[in-house]
Order: sequence, then C-alpha cells, then structure tokens
Amino acid sequence: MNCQVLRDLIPDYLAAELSRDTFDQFEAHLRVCEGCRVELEQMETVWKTLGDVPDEEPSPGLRSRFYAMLESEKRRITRTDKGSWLTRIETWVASWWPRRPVVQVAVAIAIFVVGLAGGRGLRTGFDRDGELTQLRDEVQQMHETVALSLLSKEASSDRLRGVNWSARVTDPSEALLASLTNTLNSDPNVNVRIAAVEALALFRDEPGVVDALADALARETSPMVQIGLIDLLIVIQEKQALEALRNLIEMQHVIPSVKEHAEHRLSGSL
Amino acid sequence: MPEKTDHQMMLAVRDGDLDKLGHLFEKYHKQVYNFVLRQVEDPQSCEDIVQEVFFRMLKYRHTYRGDGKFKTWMYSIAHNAKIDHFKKARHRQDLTGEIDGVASTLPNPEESFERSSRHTNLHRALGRLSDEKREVLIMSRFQNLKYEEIAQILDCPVGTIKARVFRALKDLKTLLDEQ
Repeated sequence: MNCQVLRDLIPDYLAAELSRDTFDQFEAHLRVCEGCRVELEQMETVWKTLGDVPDEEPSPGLRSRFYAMLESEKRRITRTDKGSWLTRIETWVASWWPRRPVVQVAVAIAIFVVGLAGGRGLRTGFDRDGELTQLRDEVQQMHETVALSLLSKEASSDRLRGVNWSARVTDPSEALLASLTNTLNSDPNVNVRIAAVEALALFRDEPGVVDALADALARETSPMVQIGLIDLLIVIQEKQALEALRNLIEMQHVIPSVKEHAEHRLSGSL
Repeated sequence: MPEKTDHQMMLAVRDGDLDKLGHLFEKYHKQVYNFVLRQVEDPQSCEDIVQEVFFRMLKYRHTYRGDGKFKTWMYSIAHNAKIDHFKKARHRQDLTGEIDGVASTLPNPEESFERSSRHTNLHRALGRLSDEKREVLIMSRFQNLKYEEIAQILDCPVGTIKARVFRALKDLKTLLDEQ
C-alpha cells in the first residue's frame, strides 16, 4: 500500500468500513510511514471532536403536529372509497415499476406502442371519453400551474387572481397547498390573505390544512382576516380548530371586538 | 413475537396501516431533526422540515418499495425536503427584495450557525463548510450512514462521497486551526 492509497482509505478507516485484509495493510503502512501517521492523527482528532457534539431535542409541538396530520390523513382515507382503490392501484404499479431510468423509458415506450396499436384497432365512441378525461386532467393541471405562477407575482392583484385560480383546482398538489399557506401567513395584502382563507376552506380536508389555519390565526394581526379565520374554524369544528379559537381569546394583541366575535361563535357552536 | 423491522413497518404503512408511521416517527423524528438542525440551525424551520418529511412519507407511501432500505428512503426525503425549504426561502427572499427594495434578511446556513446561541468553534467551522461537504460529513458522522447508503441518497458514486468526506475533514481541520 502506498501513501496515496492510504489517504484515500482514511474515510473508510474512520467509519470502520475497512475489510480485515485492507485494515491489516493499512496498519502495516502506518508503522513505516510517519507522514501518513501524522495525517491520520489529524483527521482522527477532527472525527472524534465531531462525535462529542450532543443531539438536541425538538419541541413537544412537533409530536402533536405529526399526530394531528396522521389523524387527518386517516379520516381522509375513511371518507373516500375512491382514495383506497386509487392507493391500491398505485401500490400495484409501484410494486413492478422498474427503478432504472433506462428500463423505465423502455417500459414507457412499450406501453405507448401498445396503446397506439390498440387505439388504432379500436376507433370507437368510448375513445372520446378517455380523451375527455385526459382533457379534464390537463385543464386541472393548467389551473394549478397558472395559480402557482400568479401567487408568486409582485402585484397584489396578480396574487389575488392566483388565489382565485387555485380555488378552481379540485385535487390540489402539495406545492399549491404550501403556496396558499405561505400566502395566508406572509402576504402583505389583507385582501389576498382573506382570499387565501376562502381558498383553503375548500381544501380543509387535505392533510395539514386545519393545522395551517389554526397556526395562521395565532399569527394574524388584521381583524378582518382574524374574523374570516374564526368563521372558518367554527365550521370545521375539529379539536385543534376550536382550541385555536380559545387560545385567541386569551391573546393580548387581539382587539376586544374580535375576541367577542370568537366567544359568540364558540358559544353558538356548543 | 419478534419486533417488526423499520422496513416491515413502512410496508404496513404503505398497505394502509397508517398507525405504524407513529412508531417510525417516535424512533426517527429526533434523528431527522438533528440532521436538519446541523444544516439549517433555526429550530422552527427545522421542525417544519421534519413535519414535511413525515408528511411526504405519508403522502408518497405507495412509492415505498419492498427492495429498498427504509433509512435510505427516509433520508432521501429529508435531503429533498431540506433543499425545497432553501429554494422556497430564497424565492421568498427574492420576491421580498424586489418588492421592498431592501437588502436580504434571510439567513443562510453559515450566518445561522454564526447567530446560534450554542456558538462553539466547531459549530462555526461546520457552518463555513460548503453545503455538499457539510451534508456528507453529517450523514456519515452523526447519522451513522454508510458511504454506500449516502451515495444512494445523494445519487452519486461512492468514491465521490468518500473524497468529499476527506476534503470536509481537511477543511474543518484548517478552519479549527484558524480559530
């Protein structure tokens, strides 16, 4: 073993990933080469210093957020039969879909060719239904793309249009939900934030949305947006939604009329 | 009855037993949190990213494959969630910068390390490593992932990972000596 090979193997040595044979050769070289011994000692010192850094604890809120998300997903699944058969199909496809991109391309081409041949053989009326479904999907995709693009614009009128476009989406992606939540939390324009509340109301069954609305209520400073959120959370009636309302009543920065509204709605909801 | 492996738990989640994700959360959320914290260093953002990681595990559970290793899959998701977090933050920063015409106030990892109340020479030095080097060092030293696993997660040759670890340690040594 020469010096270059030994140095290349230092990461393996430190992580105890050397084979027995290589380890013996490694040690044999170290016995006769002072330069490599010094190099290794330096690396080993840094490696050991890193090992002294302790782990830190996340806040307890992380656990409660996770379980709220899990419960929300479980409820969503039991609500929609559609979801369960879709998941089964997805699981089945995922179980045989190849991992290597080259094979994926080959399978895709094969499916395309079979589809083309089948399509030519069966030029019948129901073909049109397939086209319609595809068209509908494409329109949905387009709504979402337009919404995402407008939500990131400078002008508040564009962002408002972006929120309105997002309300046309029936099955929002994670990116769209994140973008709407972001808008609700940090858009400087009150009207855009109010529109975001209304759009998120449509997606309240999606995982994490109720939590996002509850979090937004704690942060929001505009009374108009606060009232919009209160009215929505009352409709949702989930535990964390009502909890967020009770917390709001205790907050010092909230003006009395908003607190009264929250109390009134809460008493009416019981 | 023997305890189920992580892989078996995740297969159960994939097949509809969502409560098993709770077991995996209890076992790994602290590890994922520290993995992110050593790169992002803002506890609130870290918790958001950890939440996102488990959300993605739930959302994309049907893509979990019988031949994969759970930890590799989980850290791939964590790696991507962290990258997306930075992209989103930078995008927001660009937007705010354009609207307000003010200098950026968004922390980058290095500045975050600088601001941390747990300032140590080591934290400062780690914060000055490039993202690539810091990440492989954290995966290997703190998360105890094998180089082969890190290569799979980052989708690059295992030789590149080892070379990156070597250079990261060298840089870290130089940075520590300078302090």
